[in-house]
Amino acid sequence: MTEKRGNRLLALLAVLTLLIAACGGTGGEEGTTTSVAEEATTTAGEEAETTTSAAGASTTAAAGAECPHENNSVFLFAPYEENQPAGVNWRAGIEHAVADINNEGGILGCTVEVQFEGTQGDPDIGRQVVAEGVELDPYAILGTVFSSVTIVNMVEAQNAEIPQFVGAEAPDITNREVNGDNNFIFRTSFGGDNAAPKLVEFMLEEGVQKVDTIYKNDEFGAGGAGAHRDAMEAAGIEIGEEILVQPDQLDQSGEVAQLIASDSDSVFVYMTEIETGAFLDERTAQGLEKPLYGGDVLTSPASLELAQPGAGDGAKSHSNLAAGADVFADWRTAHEEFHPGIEGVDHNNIKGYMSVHYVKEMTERLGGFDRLALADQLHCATITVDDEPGVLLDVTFDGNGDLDRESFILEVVDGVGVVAASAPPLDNLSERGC
Amino acid sequence: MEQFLQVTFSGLATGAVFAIAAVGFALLWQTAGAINFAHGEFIVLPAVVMLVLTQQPVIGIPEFIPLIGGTQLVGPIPQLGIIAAFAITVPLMIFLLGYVFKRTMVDQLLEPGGDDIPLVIATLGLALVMREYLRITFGAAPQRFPSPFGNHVWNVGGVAITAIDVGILVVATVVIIGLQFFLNRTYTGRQMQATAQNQETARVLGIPVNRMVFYTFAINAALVTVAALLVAPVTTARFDGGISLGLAAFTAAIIGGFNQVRGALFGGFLVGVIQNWSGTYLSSAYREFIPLVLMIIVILWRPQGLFGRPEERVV
Repeated sequence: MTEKRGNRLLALLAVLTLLIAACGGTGGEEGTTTSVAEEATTTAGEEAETTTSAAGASTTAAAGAECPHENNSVFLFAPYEENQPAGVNWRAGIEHAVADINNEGGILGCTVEVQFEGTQGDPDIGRQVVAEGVELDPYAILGTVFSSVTIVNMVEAQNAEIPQFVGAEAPDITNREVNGDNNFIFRTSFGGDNAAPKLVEFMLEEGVQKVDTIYKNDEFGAGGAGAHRDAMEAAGIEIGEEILVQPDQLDQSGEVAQLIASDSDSVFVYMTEIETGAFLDERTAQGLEKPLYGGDVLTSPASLELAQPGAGDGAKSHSNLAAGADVFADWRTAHEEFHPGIEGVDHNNIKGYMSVHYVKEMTERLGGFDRLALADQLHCATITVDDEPGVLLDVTFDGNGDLDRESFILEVVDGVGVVAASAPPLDNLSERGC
Repeated sequence: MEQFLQVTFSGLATGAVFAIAAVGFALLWQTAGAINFAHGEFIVLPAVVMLVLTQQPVIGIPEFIPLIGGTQLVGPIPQLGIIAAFAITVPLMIFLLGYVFKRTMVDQLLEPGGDDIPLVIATLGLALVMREYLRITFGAAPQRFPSPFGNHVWNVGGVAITAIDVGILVVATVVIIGLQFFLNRTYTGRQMQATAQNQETARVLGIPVNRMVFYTFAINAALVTVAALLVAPVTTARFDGGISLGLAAFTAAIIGGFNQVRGALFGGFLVGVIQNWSGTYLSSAYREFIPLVLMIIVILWRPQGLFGRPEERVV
């Protein structure tokens, strides 16, 4: 019997290929791996033990100032994007903060323990990781950083009534009309909608009249770019081309060619590090000379290190937290001493660091470990550097979990983002739920 | 017009990388009847090894890298370090991804005329293992990979042509022509083709079949190292970089013809160009979608691929 066996096999493999592609989904190809990173501080067995003991301890802690977890500790759970520079830096910041806090006696005398779990930057895996983390009964959840991951997993923390501090910047994350009136979500950097007015004001000062936008096709890119577009249009800046870039898309020659052909006078860039690095290289190769404006990522060391030397020069951004700013100089020195050889320190390191100190300060104000009270009291609260030096900058949380504070305008000079100006707080908390 | 030329040229450069990777698929299928779904990871591994070699002293021989020239240590020829690392990595990969892979996995799971599915599933598993291994040992963060061709940019008629693009096209072309010459014009190459066509007959004719099959795996290992050298400066070195690359190469091989090297070649270039055209003239959301649609159409209309030949087996 003769059969076209080879062709049948090829057809089967084609189906497998489509399955693989489907697994990648809109979150990019990084999510097809099904395993979850285990760079945890405890073993699986220990996790179960912690969960059991913590369940009873939390109740006790709410009534007094006893440590909520065994061995006089307070347990935090930190999901992060271990395959992305943003996630790696977020984790580095948390590690540094936990060490600093424990060296000074912990939180209310309790040693801080943190367990890291990788989400692979994939929304589905991220939700699974946070769902499992919730079962460990942490006092707070620190992460995730990617908006596309956060917006999916934050419902788990909300349902469990656990405060969650995230590095994500998509506007919808703290929009109570969208997030199911989530009272447990807190940012460590501005949402795109609160960052946009500061950048737009700077763009107006620079004389920008018409701008093309190129952004990553995910929650972070689409949400952030949309908020900036709205702010630009409201300020009278005309919007030209709107160009999508797929997650992890490295060949952006077509997109850059479109930007060159456009009659706009400048370009707004809103992508994460990998796509930004590729964009800067292609922009240099094709000679796109229009001014570039963007958020933190455009001028972050992690992005610039992925591009050829000098590829980012001239780019300007509104930066939530500029690691090169003078105000962070001492912290940066300490961070580099804590993580010898660390490269690409950026706003995500600072965000991770701050997140633990927000937990510490508010817990100490409360005088005990009460998650509900922590979430409740943090809304509209102001924390100054005098209160808690680890917050690094005075900050006020709004009524939705977003925040307000000083920020920075950066320009890349000789491959480094340098502070060109500072942007004062918006000071509009009365319009933001306070 | 300039935009079209720019997009097409960049697509050809990207396609050249897909082509080299796709040739690996075709070569293994032709000669050994094997399909390796860890092919993308096979390209990532040598990229990581080369990067590590250029960044760190080799264990026990601290002066080794300065001697051969780390990328930042050699003045006049900054590419010497990565080229030296490539020279070291090729034999290493021939052993690891050629000999070890063949002996420990292919020989165990693939019997002449037998079922291919166990090997397909095993290589899917191997891809996962390699990816996680690289994540744990190399780290999750992507790292910039030095270009062996420098970063010069030429402007030809309004089209920006980078040294990396030219290098990719030239090296890919030379490698592919060389491979075709070897397979068609040398005694060993013809023995390999005879082995591919019918192992039993080849054995009767005195051809050392096992050795010929090993040569195929060795050539494939060398090819993935070349592909790594070409693609990593563009994609960065990252543990999960093989997923999209392997998928694109597989798609290219299916479209062009799995059982013909020239078909896989054509498929590679076609996928690269179509991805760029789709991203530019439709939306980047269609970059990977359109080639997959084309693949389905080809399977339905011409299952052997555009340049492949129909295969039938007697069972």
